[in-house]
Amino acid sequence: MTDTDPRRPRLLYLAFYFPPSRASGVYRARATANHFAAAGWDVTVFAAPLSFLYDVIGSVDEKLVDTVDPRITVERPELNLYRWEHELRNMSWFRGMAPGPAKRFYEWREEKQFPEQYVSWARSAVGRALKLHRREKFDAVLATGNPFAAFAAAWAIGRLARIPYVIDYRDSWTLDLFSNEPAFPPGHPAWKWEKRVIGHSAVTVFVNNALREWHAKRYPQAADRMMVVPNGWDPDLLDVDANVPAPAVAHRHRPLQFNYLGTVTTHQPVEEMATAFEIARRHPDLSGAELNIYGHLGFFQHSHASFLPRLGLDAHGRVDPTLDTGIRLRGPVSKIEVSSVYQGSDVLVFLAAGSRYVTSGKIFEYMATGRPIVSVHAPDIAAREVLEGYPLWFTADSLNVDHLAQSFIAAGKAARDASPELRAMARRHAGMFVRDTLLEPLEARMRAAVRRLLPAVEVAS
Amino acid sequence: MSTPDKRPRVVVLSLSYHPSRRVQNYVTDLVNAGVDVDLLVAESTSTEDVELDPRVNVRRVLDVEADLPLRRIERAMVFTLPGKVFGKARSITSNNRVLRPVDPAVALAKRAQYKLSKGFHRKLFWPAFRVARPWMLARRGRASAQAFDLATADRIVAADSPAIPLAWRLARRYPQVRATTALDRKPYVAPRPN
Repeated sequence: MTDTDPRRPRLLYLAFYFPPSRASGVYRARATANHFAAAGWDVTVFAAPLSFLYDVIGSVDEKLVDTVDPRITVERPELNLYRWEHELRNMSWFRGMAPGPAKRFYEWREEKQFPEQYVSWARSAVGRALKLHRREKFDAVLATGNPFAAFAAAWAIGRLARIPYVIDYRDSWTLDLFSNEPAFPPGHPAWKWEKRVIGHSAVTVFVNNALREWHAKRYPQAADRMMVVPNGWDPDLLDVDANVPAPAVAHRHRPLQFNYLGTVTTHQPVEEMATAFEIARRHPDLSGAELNIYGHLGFFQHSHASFLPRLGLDAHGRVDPTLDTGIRLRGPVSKIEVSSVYQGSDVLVFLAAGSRYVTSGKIFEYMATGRPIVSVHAPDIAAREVLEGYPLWFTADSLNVDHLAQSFIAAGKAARDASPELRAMARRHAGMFVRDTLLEPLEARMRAAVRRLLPAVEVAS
Repeated sequence: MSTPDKRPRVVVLSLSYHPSRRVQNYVTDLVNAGVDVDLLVAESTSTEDVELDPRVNVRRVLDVEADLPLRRIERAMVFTLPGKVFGKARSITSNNRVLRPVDPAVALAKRAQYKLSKGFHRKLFWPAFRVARPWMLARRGRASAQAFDLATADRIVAADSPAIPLAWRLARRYPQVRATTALDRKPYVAPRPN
């Protein structure tokens, strides 16, 4: 099959967060779209409007756009920006003169459709999908959530266009990952919707086995149609040269660099990390060591003020000499630029909100570097299932700061002393989690779900 | 609009009964960043028990909101007038030996009337008044807001929901001035490190 073959399977992919968004889930969406395009699918992605990404959440990484397969068509269905509209001149007479009733009317209209603020995007997506489907038939729909209105849209498109749909729980919807309890009270419309979308989906995908099991218990009739596709890592975005030694090996007397990459959130054990690192720095091996945070504090703009005291920094994010814990704010880096950060790392810090349902996407990249990894999270975490077997993993199995400090020290020693063989073994372990490899079973199941005879597969990359 | 040699000026409209802590912090941050801030509040008591920087130029739409004709009429019709009628009736029944037997009934009726009036005020009048209040403040507040010389302001900020109708009208009247509901400090306050 070639790219110009009109009979190649046609996929509609509902991925609200898609480049240039830099939301944490965008890499899975990007890799999925690229994988299906490379596997011979004609992929159309429905993503969030650019005005939302640039003007509302302000979290974009334009370099990511260049990493999207050019064969992929990206459409951006309309999203009603009512709740994010702040310019008075753009407001209607009704909203301008009766803000209270206008808000209540808007919320009532949204809630009766789907219990989520992105429902207008889902509604537009359904309309646009059916229009495109009339022109040229889609063979399947794949939706990734959040937002979970994408699942409702996939369900509606599937029913109206009579095509199979697959939902990908990139994030959890009805399970609160931080309390491990249901996220909604009984009787909430989210339950009805979840039962509906899982009940009719051809396949339901989760990022780890713990999440799959939780959902399988709730929806046993759909359990045999559930599968796990871990997040994995993207070799095209990660270029860490295995032949270049880590700084701790090349310059043995330089203070160690412990690096954390990613967004820091209020759910993470930030204070424990800061205290433990401060203790660990008293050890001669970690003298002068720094823990660099490369990433945003919080998710939305201006949400970082509350984090700074927790990191032992002053209100401007500068090191306070009297409180110095060794933590340094280095700011966000583009996904394309993270390779150089990894290359300059001696040890990587896996700071995560503890939950037996949380894997965290970054752990796969961490492993791919072959660097020692220090875990800073509650012991009962789904990421264990991928870290088990990684030979340079250092975990305290608790959030006790003294035990964590010992992990920091042990990882620091490993950064200087680990043999090339051990590092190679670590990279081999990570090789099992290359994203393309992990997506293959999903692509095969979707191909099998398509209700027409497809040409023989010949992957065009 | 501000020029390099002129201090920026922001007009903040906050027409809830008291500016919220969020609004107070916003105003304080702007003043500390060297912004001239004009604040329009609903009435005199709106700034009572509120710690505002003395550099904030405060104006009020009304002296006492309870003196609005609609509220005065409602108070007179629902509380004062029936109260006076029953008060007069009781003064007659309690002082007249013939009518004294009906005095308890009149007293009961007076209490029932008061409960009914309170119910009407809370359940019917007040919800309706809350909807109409922003419109009234928009009408009454236009002159107070314009006294701030809006044409030379950098932006007009509707800091709470009741301020939106007035700000919305001002936005149309002063198209050259940015009018927003966002308490956005970014243009004036130096960004913190990320």
